[in-house]
Amino acid sequence: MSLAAPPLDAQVVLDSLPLSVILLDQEGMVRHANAAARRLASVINAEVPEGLLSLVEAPPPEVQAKSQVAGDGWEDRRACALEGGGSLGVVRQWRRCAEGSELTSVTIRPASALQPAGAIAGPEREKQLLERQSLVHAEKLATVGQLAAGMAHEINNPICYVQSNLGSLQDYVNKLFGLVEMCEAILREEGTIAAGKLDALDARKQAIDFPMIVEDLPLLLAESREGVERIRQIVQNLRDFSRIDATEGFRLFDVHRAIETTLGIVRSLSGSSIRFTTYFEELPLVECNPTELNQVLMNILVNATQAVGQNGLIEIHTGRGPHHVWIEVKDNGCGIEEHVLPRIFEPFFTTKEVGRGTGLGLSISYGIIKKHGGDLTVRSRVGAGTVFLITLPVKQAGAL
Amino acid sequence: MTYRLLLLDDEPGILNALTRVINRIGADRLGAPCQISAFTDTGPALESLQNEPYDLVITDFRMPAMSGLDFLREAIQRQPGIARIIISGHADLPTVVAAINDAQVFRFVGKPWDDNELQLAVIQALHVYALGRENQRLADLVRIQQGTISRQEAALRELEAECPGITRVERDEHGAIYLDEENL
Repeated sequence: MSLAAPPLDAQVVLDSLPLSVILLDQEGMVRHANAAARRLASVINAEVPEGLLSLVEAPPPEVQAKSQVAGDGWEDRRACALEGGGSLGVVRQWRRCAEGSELTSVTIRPASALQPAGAIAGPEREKQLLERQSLVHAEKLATVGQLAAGMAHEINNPICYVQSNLGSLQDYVNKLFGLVEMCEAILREEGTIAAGKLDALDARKQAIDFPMIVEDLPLLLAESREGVERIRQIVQNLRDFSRIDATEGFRLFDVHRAIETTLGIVRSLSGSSIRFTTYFEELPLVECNPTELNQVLMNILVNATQAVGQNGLIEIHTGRGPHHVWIEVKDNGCGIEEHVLPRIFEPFFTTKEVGRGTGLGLSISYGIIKKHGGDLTVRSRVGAGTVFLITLPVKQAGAL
Repeated sequence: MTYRLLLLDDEPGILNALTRVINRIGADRLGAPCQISAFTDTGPALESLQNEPYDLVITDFRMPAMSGLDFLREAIQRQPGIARIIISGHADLPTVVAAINDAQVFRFVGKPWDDNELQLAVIQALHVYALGRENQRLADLVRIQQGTISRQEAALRELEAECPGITRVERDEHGAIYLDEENL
């Protein structure tokens, strides 16, 4: 076998790989580097020892012995200094190309499993990720902004009555203290208790309407506790929703819980002129990113509340197939015009007036659902309403 | 006499809290005991307004079926003399203007309210409207009395027109009625 570069077809195939592949000859000289490897080399700082050359520097024999992989190869990890500062962790796999071949292949992939294998160009990728994340967050905050007025109302009501109830409680307690003092004075008196004093006590009890206090006090406390619990719930929902949690990965999550959380917030936005009905079927836990799923539901539900007017009706149905679950959000609102329908998932496309929407909600939702390996589709008729259908796989591909 | 109050808010917690605050005023400060009817829905509240006389209605502004303002407009049609207070969490200018101009509310109370302020508003509203009603009653009374008097006057004037001087009686210094023979 010659030591020449691989034939053209093989090169094309190699270049199309998302992995960096470098072929070395017996002396450890580079015979070929595919496109991904060349891209990688262009961002590696060649000046420092951990730079370019280290990419193909063979690990010492003891490492080779320890890190055997299947066949006769070995694997190690290494940090490469990048041109723009910082470093990139890579995993290198060394393997003899074929039985009896003098060529050794080195495949290099980023050490972080979160980054897709093709995206080796570190700084750009990082910047891209950051930008996407801040866009997603901006969109999320815009939604929260729209919710703020409704939210204030929703929180204000329980605050009102809890605060007022505390005033009433203070009044009751003062009256009860007065009664206690009176009883104490009577008890401390020497000798027999004068009948007049007891009459005075009865009169006082009547004056403060003692039976009313006894009856009302437990109710007052129960209502106030319920009010505080409501405020806590709203704040919790809001926090669940607005949390920046890009690092939160996929986990098994109850889709119905996500729906309830989001509905809790959306209800407060829409006042009570819109009726929400849920039709839940029994669903398995779904492997998903709960924060992202909440965001998708929020976008669709907020759109629905804006589409329906008075006497709005929004239905949420759920169901399951053999390997997937679906969520259907149905409204009886104004519907989407036919020429607009194909564009609704485009970024920055919006029919809302300036300031009411970023035009990113549905495009981000679409991206999120696609990332989950699911699908987001829409059916709509002008005047009749709109149906959004989210389909999600129960298990993510590649997970066991 | 008992004051009758109608409370309306879609939130039961608010209704109960308001009831407590108003009950705490006490009959001595109010001048009379008061009886509170609380409603969470506008329908039954309007029905009650149709059948029972009320002195004061306190309503929330933001409610699902009907705004507080619309409710008050309906209430005025049923009982024009009723005192009106609106309680609202969002007091933007158009809302307040509409409340004053359209519904002529006695007070616009913010949410959360101050208990003392609310109690004072209730006391004042009841007193002012009680005064107004008393005033009305007295004025009517006066009008009726004046009506009586003027009926007599009118009869006298008629007689006078027929026989001038007939309503005037002239007496001499001993009290005897003096008749002028020339005029007869």
